[in-house]
Amino acid sequence: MRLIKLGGAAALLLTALVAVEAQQPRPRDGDLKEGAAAPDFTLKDPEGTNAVKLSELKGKPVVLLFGSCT
Amino acid sequence: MASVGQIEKLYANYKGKAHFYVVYIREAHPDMEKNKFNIPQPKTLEERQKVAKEFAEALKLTVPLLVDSMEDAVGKAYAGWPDRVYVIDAEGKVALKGGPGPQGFAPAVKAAPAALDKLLADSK
Repeated sequence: MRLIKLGGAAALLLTALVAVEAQQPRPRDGDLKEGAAAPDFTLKDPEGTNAVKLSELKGKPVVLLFGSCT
Repeated sequence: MASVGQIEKLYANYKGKAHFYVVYIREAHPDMEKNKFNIPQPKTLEERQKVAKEFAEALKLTVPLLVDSMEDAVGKAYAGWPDRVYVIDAEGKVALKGGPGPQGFAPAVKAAPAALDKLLADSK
């Protein structure tokens, strides 16, 4: 009886884990390849005042660091 | 985003020779109490801008920040989530695409100087 309960608990836990896993987005590698044109964009700073357009950054390489706080 | 120390070092060494931007995208792990930063996923652009600012201040990040749209347009175009490094040459082509974070991030920051040195040497 105890074993069955344990088995049931394990199954529940597994179901829960699978559910959580399914909700988590996974990193994707995307189609962008080295040597390809970098997609152009215009984004603003956190103040919302200064806009930067990638294709207007002239004459020097650009280092883009994607990320968030967490 | 880990490795802010490494990012700042790269920035200090190359900021005169390359443009640098941190593109602040969708939070990777919002609402996690065990995290150093337990923050909710921003729901509006204003919230995202505010979190971006706080993030830069908390981590003493001096690289200029750009905030992605709420549709994550740029993050998606570059497969930037959860974090990723790119070096783009002066003509707008991808010279270095780092691996996806978190594992791929630090190695790409380490690989960036060689990629930048090559681009800078080629442009002379």
